[in-house]
Parts: sequence; C-alpha cells; structure tokens
Amino acid sequence: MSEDDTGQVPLGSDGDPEGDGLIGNLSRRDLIKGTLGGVIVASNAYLFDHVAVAAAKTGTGGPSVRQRFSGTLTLNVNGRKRTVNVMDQDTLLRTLRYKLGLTAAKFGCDRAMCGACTVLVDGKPVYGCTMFTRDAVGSEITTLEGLEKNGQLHPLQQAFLEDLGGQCAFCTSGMIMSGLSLIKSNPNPSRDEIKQGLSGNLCRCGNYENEISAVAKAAQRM
Amino acid sequence: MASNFNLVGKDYIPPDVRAKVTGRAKYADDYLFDNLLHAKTFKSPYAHARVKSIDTSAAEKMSGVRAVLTYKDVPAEPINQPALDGEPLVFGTPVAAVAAVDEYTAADAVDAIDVEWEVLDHVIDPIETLKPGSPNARSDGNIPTGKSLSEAQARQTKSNPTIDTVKWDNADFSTPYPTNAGEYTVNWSWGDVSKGLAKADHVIEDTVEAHPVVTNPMEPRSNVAYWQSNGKLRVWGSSQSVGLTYFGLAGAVGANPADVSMILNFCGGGFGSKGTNYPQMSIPALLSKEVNQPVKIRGTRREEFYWGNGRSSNVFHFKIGFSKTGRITGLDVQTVADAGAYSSNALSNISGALTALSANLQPETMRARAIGVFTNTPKRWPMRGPGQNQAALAVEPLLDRAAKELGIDSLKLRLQNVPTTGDPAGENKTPLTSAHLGEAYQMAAQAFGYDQKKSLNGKREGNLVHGIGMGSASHQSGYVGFDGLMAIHPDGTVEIRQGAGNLGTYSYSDVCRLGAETLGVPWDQVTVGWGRSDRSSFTLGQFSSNTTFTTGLSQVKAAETAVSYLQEIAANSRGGGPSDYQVANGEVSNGSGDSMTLAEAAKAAVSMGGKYTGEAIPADLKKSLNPMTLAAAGDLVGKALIAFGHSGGPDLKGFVDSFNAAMAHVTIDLGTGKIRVIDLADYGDSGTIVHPASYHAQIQGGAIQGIGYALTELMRFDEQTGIPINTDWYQNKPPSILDYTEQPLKTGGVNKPDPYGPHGAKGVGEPPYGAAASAVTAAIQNGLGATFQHHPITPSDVLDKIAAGETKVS
Amino acid sequence: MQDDMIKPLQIVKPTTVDEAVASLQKHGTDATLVAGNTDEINWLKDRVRTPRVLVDIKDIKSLYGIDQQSDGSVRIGSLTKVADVASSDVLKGSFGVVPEATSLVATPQIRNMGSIGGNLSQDSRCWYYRGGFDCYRAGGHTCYAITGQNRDHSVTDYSRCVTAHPSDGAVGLVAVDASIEVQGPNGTRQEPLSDFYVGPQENITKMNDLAHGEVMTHIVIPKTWRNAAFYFEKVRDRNSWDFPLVNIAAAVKTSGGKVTDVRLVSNGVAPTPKRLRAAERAITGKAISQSTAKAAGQAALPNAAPLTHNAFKVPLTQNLVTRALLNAK
Repeated sequence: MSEDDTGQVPLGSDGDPEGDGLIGNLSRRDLIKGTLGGVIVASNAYLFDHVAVAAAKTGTGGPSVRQRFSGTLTLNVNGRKRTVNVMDQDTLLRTLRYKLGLTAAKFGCDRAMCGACTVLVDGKPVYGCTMFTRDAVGSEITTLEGLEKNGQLHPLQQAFLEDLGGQCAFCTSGMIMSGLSLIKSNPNPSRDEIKQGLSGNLCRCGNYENEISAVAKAAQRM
Repeated sequence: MASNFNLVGKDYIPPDVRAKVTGRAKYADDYLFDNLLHAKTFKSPYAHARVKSIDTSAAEKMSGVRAVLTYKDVPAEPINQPALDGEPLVFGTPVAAVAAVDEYTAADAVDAIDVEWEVLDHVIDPIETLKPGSPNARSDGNIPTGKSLSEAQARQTKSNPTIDTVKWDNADFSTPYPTNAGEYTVNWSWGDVSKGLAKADHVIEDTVEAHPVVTNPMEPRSNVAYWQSNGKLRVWGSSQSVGLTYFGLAGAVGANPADVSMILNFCGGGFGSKGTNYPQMSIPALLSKEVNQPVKIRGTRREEFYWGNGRSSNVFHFKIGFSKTGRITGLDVQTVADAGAYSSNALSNISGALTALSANLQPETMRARAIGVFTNTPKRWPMRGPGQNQAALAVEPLLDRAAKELGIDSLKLRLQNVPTTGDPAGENKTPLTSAHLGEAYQMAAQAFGYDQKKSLNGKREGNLVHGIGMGSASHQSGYVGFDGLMAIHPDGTVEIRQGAGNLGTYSYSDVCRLGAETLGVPWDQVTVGWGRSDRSSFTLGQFSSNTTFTTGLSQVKAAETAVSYLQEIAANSRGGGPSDYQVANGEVSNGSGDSMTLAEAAKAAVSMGGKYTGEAIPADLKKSLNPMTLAAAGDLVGKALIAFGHSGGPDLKGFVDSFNAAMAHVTIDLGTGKIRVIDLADYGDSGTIVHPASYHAQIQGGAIQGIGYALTELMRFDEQTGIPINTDWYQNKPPSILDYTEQPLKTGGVNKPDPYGPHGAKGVGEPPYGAAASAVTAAIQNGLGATFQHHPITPSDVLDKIAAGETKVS
Repeated sequence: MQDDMIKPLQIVKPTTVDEAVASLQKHGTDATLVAGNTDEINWLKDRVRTPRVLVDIKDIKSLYGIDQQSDGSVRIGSLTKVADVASSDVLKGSFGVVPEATSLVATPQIRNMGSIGGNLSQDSRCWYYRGGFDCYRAGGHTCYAITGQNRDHSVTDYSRCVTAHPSDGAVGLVAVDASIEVQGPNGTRQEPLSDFYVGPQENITKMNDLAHGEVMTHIVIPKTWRNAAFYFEKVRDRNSWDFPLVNIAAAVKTSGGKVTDVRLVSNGVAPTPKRLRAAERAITGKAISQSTAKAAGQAALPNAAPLTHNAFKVPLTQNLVTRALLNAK
C-alpha cells in the first residue's frame, strides 16, 4: 500500500500473525515512527486530558455543562495494578475499553440487556456497562485479555476456537467470561446448567449450540 | 457427492478465529486514536415532522465542540434516508450532528440544539395509507414505484425508483385484507389462476400478516472516519460487505472512490442491515471533512431500533387451490408490503416474496398482485430473507391446514409441490439451476423422526398439547458479474485478495477454500486477504445468501486464470505445451518429471512480466474488471504472479436458489400460553457444502432467529403518536439461550452440487430462518387446531385464542 | 433522547445508614439513593433523570446477610444480592418460595449486581413512562397506556395510571408475610411489605412509600410460614431477562387435609403486588382437589377490568392459582 500520510494504523493491527488481516509486515514501531500529520495512535489517556481542558476553559460553563468529579483510582485488572483517572459516572466498561485499551468487552446495549460487556469481578460475572468504575476498586477484575498466558490459550479459548464458538464473535468475550465463572463454580455442568450459566449473554447470530459445546468441552479439560 | 476434494467439504480453523477468542479482533468502536472526536446526533421526537427553524449556536459555542452540521449541510436523497433530514420521516431520524472532544460534551452539545417543529400527519399501518383521505408518510407520495428488483439487482443496475400516490378509493376496508382492492404496481401470472382454482378439490383462503422486527445485530453500527486535508478519507467501519460499502459511502459523501479506503475487518453481525453503507456511516465522514480529524460515531442500541434497518412487513391474502392429493392447482396471492418511509425496499420485498412462493410451491397456475407503501416507521432493509421469509411464515401453515382438511399427510402434500432442477421460478419462469427441496424435507423428516412424531400432533399431556409442523423457505443465492484476485508470491505463498466482508459467516475465508481447491494448493500455503477496501477485489455484498456462490465463483475464476498462467509458464520454462501440465499439490507438472513449484513459477512469472504480473491486463479482463479490483493488485504489480478472474453471463444460466426444509415439535401450555420448542430439524439444499462447521452454524443461527421471529420479536408502535414503544432489548426480545429448542438442533444438508456453483456450492444463510419460523408456527397452529393471522405467537396470543373459543383442543 | 451519556455527577459512599440518611437530606432532590444500581443507571443514561449526586450505600456492611433468628424468623439485609437470596440454604430450607422467586429475576449477572432491597423497590416498567412520555407517573397530565399499548399493564386496582408492578422478589416475600425496616430522618419504622407498596390512587408518581431520605435496611420473614407448602411460577415471553406477564407466589398451610391458611400473591396484574384474597377465601377450609383448586382459580380477580390488550391476564392468573394450589409443596 502506498505510504501516504494515512499510513498510521490503530493499535492492534501491527501485522498480528494471528491474522486479523490488517497491515502486512509493518511493526508497531515503524508505524508510529512513520506517522505524519499529527495523528498519533495511543491506547489510553484520551478522556482525561480533554475533560481537564474543557473544565478549565469553561469553569461552570453553560447551563448544561456540569462540574465533573474525577479522581485517580487503582484497579486490579487481570492481576495487574492499573491506575486510571475517571469521572464518577464513568462505567467500568468505558474505563476498560477507552482508558486501558482492553476492548474485548463490548458495548452491545449499554443497558444490562445483552451481556456483551460481561467481565468477572471477584470471579462473578457482572455487566461492566452497569457498574461504575469506582465500584470496582478493591476487587479483582478479569477480562478476556487476561486468559491467555504466554501465548497459550486458556482451555475455554481453545474450545471456542475448535468448536467455532463465535460467528460474528461480538458476544464471544462475554460468553467466555460467563463460561469461565460457571465452570469454576460447577466443574462438571450439564447442558441445562450451561444454558443457565450463559442465560445472561445474548448471541444474535444464534450460535448457542456451539457455545454450549465449547463450554462443555472446556469443562472437561479443566 | 463431494468426496474427491482436498479442501472443500472439510473443516478447518479460519484465520480470524484466534483473534476472536483472544479479544484481539477489532470492531469499529475498538480502534483507539488520539485526537479523536466523538459524534452524536440530534434526533426527531416525532413520527413525521418538518424543521421550521434550527438554532445550533449554543452548541457551536460550547467548549470542546469542534463541528456542527445540520440537514442543510448534507446531500439530499430522492428516496433513501439522507445522513441528516430536515423533514424526518421516522421517530429518531437525525436532523443535526455534532463532533466534540468527548462523548459527554457531544451529548451536552446535542441537548443545546434548539429546533422548532411543524408536526405533520403520520401513518403507521400499511393498509391505512391506502384508504382514501388517509395520510401519506411522505410529502411526495405514499408508494415507491418502478421495477421490483431484488436488492442485489437494484444495486447492480442502479435502478432509481420513483414515488407516487395511490389510494384504493373503491376498496372495502372492513375485512382483514381489503376486498375490491385498487391499483397494484406489481402484476404477473403463471397461466390462468381462475381455472386453476376452479378445478381445485379444496380451497384455502386467508389473510396473514408478516410482522416487522428489528434486525438488532449484536454490534450497534459504529464508524470512524478520518477525512484528511489532502482529500483522502479513511473509514474504520461496521459493514457486512466491502466493495458496495466502499462505493456507496464514497458516493454518499461526495468523495472520489480513489481517495477512499475502508478498514472493514470485523463486523458484529448484520443480517442484511449493514449490507452496504448506511446514513450513519456518512455522518462521521462529513464531520471529519470539516475539521480534518478522526471522528467516531459510537452507535447505540437504541439507535438500532430507530435506524437499524429491520424486517419489512407484509399483509398477504392467499387463495390456494389443492387437488385431493395435495397438489397446488392455483395460488392467488395479493400483498401490501411496507419497508418504512425511507426506501423503495418494499419493491424488493415483493420480488423476493413472490419469487419464493413460486419457486417453493411450483403452483400449476399463479396470480401475483402487490403494492409497496411507505409508512412513518423505521426504514426496513434486507433482513435475512426479506420477502422470502415473510412469505414462508405466512404460507406454510396454510399447507399443513390443507393437508389436515384433505386428510392427507403433511409431508406427502409438500412433496407433491416441491421444485426440482429446471423448474421455473419467478415472473419470468427462470429455470432453477438446481433444486433438491424434496430431499431436504426427507432428510429433515428422518432426523426429526417424523414418522414417529407426527402422531403427537394435538395430543394432550396434562396442561400441555403437542404440536408438529413443517415449513420451507428459499432465497436466490448466486450472481455473476464479479471479480476475483489471486497472487502467487515468489516465496510460494498464495495470497487470495477476495472481496467479501467478515460478518461472522466465514464465507470470506470459505471462498478462498474454493479458489485454493481449483488451484490445488495446500491450505497452509494460502493467505486469506480480507477487511481492507484497498486490497479487496470487487464483489457483491454479503447479503442475499450469495457469497459462497458469487464470490466463490469469482475466486474460482481467478484460480482458473492462475492455472492457465502456470501451465504457460511451465511450458515456457520446462518445454512442451501448456496443456501437458497439471496444477496440483502446490506444483505444476506434466507427469513425466518436468515440474515447477509455485514459488519457482512465480519467480519465473516475475521475470516474464506482462500479463503474468499485472503489468499488462488481457483485453477481455480489462473490459470487465472493476477499478477496485485493479487497484487491489496495485502493490503487487511486477512482484508476483497476479491472476484476475471475472464471472460473467456464460457462467450462469438460470436461477440459483437455495432451499431449506424444517420440522418442529412444540408444546403449548394451555393454562399459561407458554410455548416450548422441544425439537427442530432444519436441512438445506445449498449445493456442495464447503465448510461443514460453518454450514451447521448458519442453519442453527438462522433457526434460532427464526424462532424469535415466530415467538418473541415485534416492532410495536404507539398508534396515536406513531412512536416506537418497545425500544429496549427486554421489550423487543431476541431469543436468549433459554428460548430455543430443548433438544440440540438437528441440522444438515443435501450436499448435491449445483452445475454453475463453484465446485457446486450455492449460498446458505437465509432459508434456514424462514423454514424454522414457519415450521414452528405451523406446529403451534396444528397442535392447537387454531389459525394465527398475526405473529409473534406469545403467551398472550395463545390465551386470547383459547378465550375466544378458536382452538380445537380437547 | 440522548443515549448513553450520564450527566456528570458525584458519587458519595456512606459507610453507615446514618451517614446515608444525612447525605440524602443534605443534597435534597439533587440526590438519588442507589444500591446495586442495575436500574437507576438506565434512567441516568437516558438522561430522563439527572441527579447531581448519587448516594451509593453498597459499602454499608451492616446491611448484608441472611440470618436465621432464634425465634424462627429470618432477617435479610436489604443490600444482600439477589443471587445470594436465590442460593440461600437458610431460605431454601424453610421459606423456599423466596429463593425460587428471586432465582428467576433477570439474568445471572443482574442477580450478582442487584440488591434484594432494590428488587423490592424497583420502578414501573411501563414503556411510556420509561420512554420519557409526560404521563401522570412522570408528573404530567395523562396516561398513554390506557388508550394505547397496554399488554403489560394492570387489569385491576388501577386508577388514572395503569402500570403493573414487575417484581418477582416482592410476591415471594409478601407471600410469607414479610415486613421491612426503614431508617430515615425521623428514625426507624417497620411495616408489612404489603403496606410498603403504594397504588396510584394514593400516590400516582411512586410505586412505594420510601420517602426521600429513607433507606430500607432489613427485610424480616416471620416464622409464620416456615415449612409451609410453597409454589412459584413466572410467566414471561422469554425465559431470561423478561419481567413477568403474570407471576404467582403461594404459601399454603393445611391441617387434617384442609387448607387452614393461604397466601396467593401475583404481580403483573396490579400497580402493587396483588393478594388474591377472593381465591384465598375460596380455598380456605377446603381440601385441595382438582375441582376446589379450579374453583378457587375462577374466584380470583373478581373485579378485574382488563384494558384493550391485556384481557389474557385474567385467565392466566386464574390458571396460575389453580396450578399453585395443586402443586404447592
């Protein structure tokens, strides 16, 4: 492809050999070095800077601009301490995705009605869209990104890979997290118990059979 | 069947699966940028209104707001939904848009926009707008006119429907379907249906509605656009397709396609609703043009209800005549189709529905009359079998009813009427290239245990009654006129730059299996290309169940080009004539010891240049290849063996159609109205099955969505205001994992090759939905001995039927 | 109509009930009380409600727990998660209808996040009210549902507002004569849970009598119905997420084969959890049989006045009564 100044490519598409099919051979270093035009890709620190600027400029602002209460929090995400600056009304999903670059959990509905944002908090599946980030302080947060260890897929990920557990795969992160919690509390779940465990995760592609078989397969291997 | 293939018919792990299970797969909202602006829209709070005045000054002055656009700043559209509309025809249609430094500021800016409205008359019900003196959904008329084409044909021919006004002045609107109907815009016949009905031993007549539902893919449609000051526009989008999306968006925002590139790597479902570009995709592009910064619009779920392109609706009136053995002697169908206010899609709904009825039922005589209307409801776009699956839902229970009334077996009745290869389809009686619906029925019956189960129909078990039903559906599933592109690199890898999008069907990769099969190359030497418009060959969109055939065929064509080049190169290099050489197992050889590996042949190609490396394009290909395809090979020219392919007229004679047959076992709780689907078998005639695991997944998925269509989903409106009233997912209910069959779904395929399909394959995705939906509703109707003219059939509908004494349960 | 973006607010997290009450008073109507927040947050995201302060009581440790008391009653802290109520061995053993009812609330994730107090004090699900229409409940001057889409609405006990109460937890707890304890600016008070609920004649904008500044602290199940025969059924469109079209919780005591006392409670039929007293009277003193259970069912909702789209709820409720009596164990 021609190296014009659209050459910058967002993070995550750095020739990932797992084949997300994006740019071929450029490394992330090349891309960032090669960027022109002032648009540099970064994975975090997007919200806070702009909010501070806006607040500083407007003071109390017009009638519809309110004081924004923000603070620095420490979260435990996938076993690591992460420090973030969030506003009180920022949800955990928003923080995970846009501050920490952990984009596996998705905005499916933002209303606790679909499960695409399911993450584990202290091992229990919750809807990240419906939890304020502040409420997650002091808990262990586990996301899909935390499952792979040293390039080795977690048995659930391996099972979803083998059994075509995702079609469009937008629900897959949430499904796997719910499946993980289920298996931890019930190591040998029946088909019905698997369905109950996944009953808070919608799959619009209708791939439920494959999701059930993948969870059952993973349970056997774990 | 498909037993001599290396790749086709075998399972494999497609190249995007690992990214999906690790969370690395990036959908449009996952890309992170510094300097990103966020777009939100100001939406109409009325079903139909006109902006009298709009004041965006407060929004523009707000700190952090970088751009504000109104409907005055965007191109108008004659019939489709513009990006922003000054006379919004649907509740929730955007009128203005802002781009701000963060989403909170964007939301505040939208709240600061002031609009004075002139509220106009609205109409929600499609029959209502045909009544004399009734409101029109649009100021310029109440019906789309022009040729009724399938959505794919409309795009290919760039047909431009027009708008007119029709009222049925002399109709009687007191019956469920108006009698003495007025003008229809679609009229065609097979033979003389009045004779067909006259000779029938039994006639069934009924009015059935096929209802609107929201498509609701899991991923709301988010898009990022970056329009740079040098005129180049890059988009990270959510779309099922690549080529049509790319050209469509360029046209919609007034950009030169050569200046546009799109990243369309992963799409979280579409089911038709993201088939090409859509207005929301234009908004960030137009905003970005103002500021030359990347702009994202993060789609919300609520917006999917407003502009997410649902299923068009039909009111059908059938009069069907049967011989005493169940053969359909006459099918008289009238329908009013409604695709909302913003598209001519009612016309393709009509085409799809009527063609499917003709193909599936093969009536001896047929009369089809139809008209499409506008209503102030969300634009409906092709949703999984648009028209075809509406027809299936409506008509299949009538066939079971006929069987019962004639005292013959339902399956026997179906088998009297199923199409076989060469039978006609549609207005022009185009011959079906292949049709094995009868076999699909029999396979479904076998898997389902129909012979044992059928006696359960109507059987009481405590509070429950059992119901057994069946149904079928079809969808045109293959087109020609599209491009393929394959490159063999000097290292021997074969890179297939196919053009299908990635919406979860794995067809983007399966079409490469088809091409690789032709090339005889081991799969581990193949690189699948997808997700970037600048490296995609031009093909049809990923809708209409067509990709496996259409894009597969174009890739097979490219592979055939590659084979002929390899033969020529080998002959040139090793001696003899090209026809002495075969291409198989990653090499080209003549069987007498002269061979070249693909790597060696590619290196030779590079030194030979000319057509082998894209430095010269053969005249016939040059004429037919789309510029997008040529551009997709741009960086490879002179560096690899480049093989283009194009499918054209001679490659297809007839109508490519895929079929599914399904059987369902339900129980209905007479005390609570709850329906449980116990067991469902859904089998398809989709030609050669290319990727078995994905094939089963498509049928399962279609069946589960079809169960939702029959049992749980509906767009509901407040009639007085015309406002959609159930715009949250717990109100507008897609099936959860607890809402489909109790037994594992039984799925499979006939797996007989189509003569024109690539290695015999046809398309897959839509018929399973209509077959399942119709089998489930037939089962309920059979079990209760009741007829349902409206769906979904929920507990309240069952209880109402029982209370009205309209069931025949003991 | 601005989706998804909560207007900036401040979260305060009191650690005692006194602090919570004081906070609510301090901020007045600028503040809203939240616990699990699985519902209130949606109002905020829709910008239909825009409090400047959320008083989040999740850190008040004293409000968690399910404790058997020596007198046979059970005290449940109002912040106890719905999931914990559903899986409680203490309750399963002797007041099984309560875990049964709560196990069918929404989804596993919501049960993990939501509090039992929140489930009991949840707001109407009328789609006009929730959709931002200016109806009576929202402080306006009309009801859209009465002449509009009212499939999910009440068939009895309504007045100018026809909403139906959606809670499953409520019917389970009302069926065992639960009471609640509330702490507020004027001290603490107790009342039967059934009195907590407020019909539109009494107050058309609220579903219950929790005043601003008050916090529900505990739910108390008296020993009265310990080890009675119980039944719970929830009839809904889908088998996950959905609210009840109609549900029923039953508690039955028999002696010498005859019913000595019975509670039959349904939601989905009235603006407050409905004691089906006519049905209760019809079965009291009788042995439960197919015919007496059927008769009791037919006796339910004698004053029902269905709306245009919800007549089905009457036979549904009646059938559930019959089913509950025949299957209670």
